[in-house]
Amino acid sequence: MSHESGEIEQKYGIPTVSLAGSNVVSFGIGPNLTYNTGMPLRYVGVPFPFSGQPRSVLRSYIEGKDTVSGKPMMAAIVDGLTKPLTAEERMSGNPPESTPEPRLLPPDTEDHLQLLFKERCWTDYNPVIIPTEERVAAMLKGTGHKPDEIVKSAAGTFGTRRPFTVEKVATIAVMAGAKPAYLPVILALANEVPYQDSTTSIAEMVVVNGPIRKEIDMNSGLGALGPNNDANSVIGRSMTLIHKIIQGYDEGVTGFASLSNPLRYDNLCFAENEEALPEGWQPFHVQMGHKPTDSVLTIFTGWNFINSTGWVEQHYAPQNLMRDYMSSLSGMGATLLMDPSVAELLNNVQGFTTKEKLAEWLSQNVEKIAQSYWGNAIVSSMLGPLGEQGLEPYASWKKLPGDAVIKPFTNPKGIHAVVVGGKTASVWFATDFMPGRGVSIDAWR
Amino acid sequence: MATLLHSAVLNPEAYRTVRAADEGAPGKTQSFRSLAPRLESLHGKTIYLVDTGFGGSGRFLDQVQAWFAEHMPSVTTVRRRKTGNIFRDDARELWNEIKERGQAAILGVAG
Repeated sequence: MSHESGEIEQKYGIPTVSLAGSNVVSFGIGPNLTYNTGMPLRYVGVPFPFSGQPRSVLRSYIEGKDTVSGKPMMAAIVDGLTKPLTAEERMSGNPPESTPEPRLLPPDTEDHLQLLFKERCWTDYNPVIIPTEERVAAMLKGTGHKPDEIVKSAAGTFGTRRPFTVEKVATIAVMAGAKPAYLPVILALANEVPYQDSTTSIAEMVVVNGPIRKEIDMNSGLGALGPNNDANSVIGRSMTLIHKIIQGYDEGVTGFASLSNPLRYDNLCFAENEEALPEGWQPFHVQMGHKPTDSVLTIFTGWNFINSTGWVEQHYAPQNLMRDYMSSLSGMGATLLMDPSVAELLNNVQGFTTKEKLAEWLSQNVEKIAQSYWGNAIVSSMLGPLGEQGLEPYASWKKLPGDAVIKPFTNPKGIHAVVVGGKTASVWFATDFMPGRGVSIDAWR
Repeated sequence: MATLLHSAVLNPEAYRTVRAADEGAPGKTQSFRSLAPRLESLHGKTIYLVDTGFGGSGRFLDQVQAWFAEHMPSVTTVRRRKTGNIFRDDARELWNEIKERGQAAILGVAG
């Protein structure tokens, strides 16, 4: 919202007041000013939660206090539009340069450095490998790129300016415990910052395809989603450290995930079991237009991860239970993670000779009621406006009675399947994770 | 007794290798920009109340609108729901309308 208020103030010369919940208002006042708008926008804080409250409570908020200034809320709003600008609010031009952090830390003991890394939040709170010059130099041998090459500039939360170098990524790779051979994957991962953040429990999933999987011994088979493999674990951990150190995620300052998500501990990093795909089923990266010989990393973003719990029962085909479970997802997109044995059943017995045919069937068969569909705040806030603009099917769905049945996965291309696992149980996960663009790992070799 | 590490240790927050002149630095801040001049009073003015799309914003702005009607009846309030993505500044037509027909705007509620 700061972007909008800033633009109205700056380009249109119109005074604004920005209302924000007390849960996030400090972001608007602090980091948004510093790294985003450069404007000390006038924020008024509304008690949280405000959504879902009866009118009487909202009225009491209006008659109560602005959580920022402590003034009566409506007086604060009126003041925000009428009180003359302060010297700070009239300021323009460049702020003084902050003193750069030195490249090297002062000499210290291992124990003190571990403590320092925790104090500075350069950790996931497991011990890190201290990135000595020698270790970072050895790590840099994993790529042909120069240490001072800028990987990306717009790296901060919401794409704010926070450039970083190959050396910095190598430093983080050392801290996570990586081998030099993992560095191209970690550079590709770093290339995708900023990662999605939200007050909701959003999470990421990292899927690797192509020859690099075997070169660095990633696990795509038995126990691939668990803490059972060096490359999977360490690359996933690197993402957490990149998020904190490069992107600058700081709980309560730039990030406000109320519960966060346990999937963030390792960011679900694994490789697709391409060798176990049924005939006719393409690897995910090939479906997305890459060559089979390309090594590609894809970051998926989502919230939910539903386990099939048990194996496939004789009387109920796997696609039926997938359909049932997917009806609880938002409908904006889905990714099924399935054991190779499930893929074989779907292909050989159920006739889904491609991943796309399975997606088409699910798109036509997953159902939910309109009230539940619009009851999801992400759906309502992202797709509701499209309905308001007349875009179908959302415009029609907005007019439906609450108990009307809809097929929420309108686009079969939004339903994906990734095959992973060791064929010791015919199990799967239904997730609402949606893929970003595929990132070339080869470009970072 | 604990001993110092023999090796120099890299600072994960360092940006010495970034060419500050053309790339900026990680902590480099946005240029300051002045806010728009404020109104002398709201009497007789038109204020746009813009629902930016977060759940519950519309109902909250209903209350803001009701308060103006009750306590500052000379103020005209205009309600608008921002169309488009709630996370993007993609409502130029609405901003143009506010510039043309209004004197101030209240946006919200971010949550």
